Amino acid sequence: MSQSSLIHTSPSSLTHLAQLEADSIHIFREVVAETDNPVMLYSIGKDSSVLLHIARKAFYPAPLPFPLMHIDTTWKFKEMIAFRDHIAADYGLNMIVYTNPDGLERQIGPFTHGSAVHTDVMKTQALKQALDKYQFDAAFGGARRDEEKSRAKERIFSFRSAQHRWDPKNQRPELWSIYNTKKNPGESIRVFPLSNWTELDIWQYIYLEKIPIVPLYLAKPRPVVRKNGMLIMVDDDRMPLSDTDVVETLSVRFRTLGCYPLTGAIVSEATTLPAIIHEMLLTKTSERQGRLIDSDGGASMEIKKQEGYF
Amino acid sequence: MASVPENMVDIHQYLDQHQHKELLRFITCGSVDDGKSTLIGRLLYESAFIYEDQLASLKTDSKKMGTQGDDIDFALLVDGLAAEREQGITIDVAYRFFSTDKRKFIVADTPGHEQYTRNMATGASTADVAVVLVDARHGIMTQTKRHSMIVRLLGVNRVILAINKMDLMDYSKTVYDGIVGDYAAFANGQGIDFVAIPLAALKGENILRRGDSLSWYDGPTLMGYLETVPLPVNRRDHAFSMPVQWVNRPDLNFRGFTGQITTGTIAVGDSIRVLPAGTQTRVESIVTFDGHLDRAICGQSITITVADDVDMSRGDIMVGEGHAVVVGQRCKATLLWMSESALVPGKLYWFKTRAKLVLGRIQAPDHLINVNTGATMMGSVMQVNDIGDCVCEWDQPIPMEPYTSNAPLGSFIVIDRDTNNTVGMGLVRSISGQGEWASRHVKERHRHWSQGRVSVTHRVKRNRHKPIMVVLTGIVPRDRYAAVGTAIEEALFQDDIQAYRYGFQFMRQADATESSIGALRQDMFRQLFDIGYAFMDAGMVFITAIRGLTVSECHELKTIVDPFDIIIVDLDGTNGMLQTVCNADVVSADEALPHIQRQLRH
Repeated sequence: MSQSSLIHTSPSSLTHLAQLEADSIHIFREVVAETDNPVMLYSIGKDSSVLLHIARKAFYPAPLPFPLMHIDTTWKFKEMIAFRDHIAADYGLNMIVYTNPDGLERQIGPFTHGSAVHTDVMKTQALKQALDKYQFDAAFGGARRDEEKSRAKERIFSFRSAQHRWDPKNQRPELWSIYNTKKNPGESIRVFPLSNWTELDIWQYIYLEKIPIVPLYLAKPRPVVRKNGMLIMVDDDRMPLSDTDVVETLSVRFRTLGCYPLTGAIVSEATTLPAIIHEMLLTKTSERQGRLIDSDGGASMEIKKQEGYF
Repeated sequence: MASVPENMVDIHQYLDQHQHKELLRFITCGSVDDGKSTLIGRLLYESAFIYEDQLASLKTDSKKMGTQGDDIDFALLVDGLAAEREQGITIDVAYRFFSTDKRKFIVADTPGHEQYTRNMATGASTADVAVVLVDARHGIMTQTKRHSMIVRLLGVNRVILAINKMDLMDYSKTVYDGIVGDYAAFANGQGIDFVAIPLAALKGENILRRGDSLSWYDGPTLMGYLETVPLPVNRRDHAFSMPVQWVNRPDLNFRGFTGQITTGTIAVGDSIRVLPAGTQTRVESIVTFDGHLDRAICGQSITITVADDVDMSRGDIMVGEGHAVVVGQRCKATLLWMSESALVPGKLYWFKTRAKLVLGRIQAPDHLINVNTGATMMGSVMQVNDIGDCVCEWDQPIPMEPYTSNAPLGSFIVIDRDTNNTVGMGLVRSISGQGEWASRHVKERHRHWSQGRVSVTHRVKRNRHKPIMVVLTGIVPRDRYAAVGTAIEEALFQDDIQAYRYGFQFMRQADATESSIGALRQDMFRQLFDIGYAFMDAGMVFITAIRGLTVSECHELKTIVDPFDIIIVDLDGTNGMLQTVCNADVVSADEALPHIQRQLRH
């Protein structure tokens, strides 16, 4: 294995990426040392890829001392699922895949039930069910403070009630790098090791560390239709197409990944990481805008988080 | 402003530059409505770190909830919680990120309202620089001083006094000079080093670009200063220290000690000591995912293997040559209390340091600090947002260093055992060994003691029981000590035992010449147990009560009354550690009487 290109850029001080990485490793180890049954929530996206990479660094040479869990809504891009299974096999990970059995039976989907119901049943409720089922007392997530304004306020160690609710007005003080992991009965902790990373940091780290990511992040000719002002990729034949829908093949990529019917593509020619970063610096549209969930009201994400959304 | 690269050749240059940027963390603080959120909104906006969709929703929100008429209300960009937007105030710290060509910044926007001071401290604990905002119309307020005090206590030595809303005071140099003078009078007494910058954040003047109306000012703009202020002296030059965070033991062939280096550097072959045990060993290898390292520096998270099979586990601290870490069970610390429930002196709390979680107690504060003047003042109760100096004590010796020389090893948080909440933060001022004064005192007593012809042995024979000291402790209402003590005294008396309950509780009032409560308690303690010693020398059972007896007081007690036996009656069931740590004879209230009776005839 080669020496990291990040840390040894200067013999006397750490670059900001090396600092961020070291702080994230510290957080991972702290949780493993102090909680009984942690899990890493794995969304297959770029932030999860970075999270997984840092987790492997934190515990090397030991294997990861906790499982990964993916909440599968059954509407993720096919390439995401293939990537997930490949990574799990390649790294020898214990990957739990959970789908809400009730939602599955009711055949909940974004086209038939709308994005709000779909996200609630297949994502939020599913996550709560899975956390209850496996009795995880701490869950790592890849959320960053620069993503959204209620996340900018969240602690790195964020407590959830037995009902998985977040109380934003009553967060514990979080001082220095000393983390209070004491929980009341039924409480669990969501831990965000990437809190202080920005989108640019994530991309640059992926680039420097050569971290594998889902190819959907890179531009390629893909079949898309225009829905509600967004470019939606026709990923499988569950996509209802009316006579007026036109399937175009455009060179597109995705800035974030989720359920394909809810994730807008952007037209792009960026086929390499530096090209993505270049585009990102020129773009004046923030990352979460490609997601339908955030935009229905100023405090939308805060409310979803209070309800248990990650 | 961060310039965006034009083409793909530039992008590699840009990435290279970005990769080598330094990181500066700062906080903005000050009174309510001084325009902190507006200032940060401006910094983000003018550094092009606001995206179009964010700007669009900001414009919508500004019309709906803003306070700036048709203009953009930048505060809405930062106040992310629904309650904050409704009330137009900042409740919790918001972290924002931006970068320029020179540096990357993490800014913590902290609330001004006094009730949210703990959130302000959360932001300050990780900051390198503090921007203290002042409203030019109001000048220096209580909250300005409070925040400056907290900032200084946390070791943030660089303060920017940003005098905002100059536009509302006609950009008057006289107003500016007056405020700078007022602040200097306060800051100089507190050892706060500051620079002052006049601003009009709402109009963007002196944020990135100079304001025409402030032509009399020739210092740097706010951004100009943030980009060039020297980073705090790296802890790299300090001796090596690293708490063991987690022992990595995947199989029998590998045993690595993981941690993040808190100070100094470490190289393969270096000699290290493991504290508190003091065991010595050598660094065999520094293991990382990216390969073995020859050397690692402060801030890195690494895994170390050592040459010998030493006993080392989470909470131990590895130190290098020339270290100043002290192993102690008791320290003097400056505390900021963060809970609505006041500090209960003597109550058992969790303490979490950078290394581990321990049980301990806090004595009533020696004094509190008046945040308006920085002066010390007497006070025995610590309420929410109070700052004071207290003696803290743990159930085991832990390695620590004063905060000013090693912040990571000189800081701790206090956790309430009932609510699990973080209720206080502490900065270690000094660490002390245990019971030195007690040994000195016993030596003095022996020197001046005049022995009679009737010895304790004669008295034991006459009384047909041993002399014993019974100490009731715990944190319970005052009448409970009296009730239990009186019952024991009466029962023993009926049983023909020479027993006396000493019920005088509050000697400290009687002789309040000492200046600190810690010293008063120690003095009261010494007097009480000297009396007890005399009663036992007279062959009697001496019953008394000490609220919240600590581990080191228990050690001192044993020293003072040696060679007599002590039985400790635990009234609230939290004093098990007096047994495990001090090897004291601890019983519950229910078991006390039969246990005392057995011991007396023993």
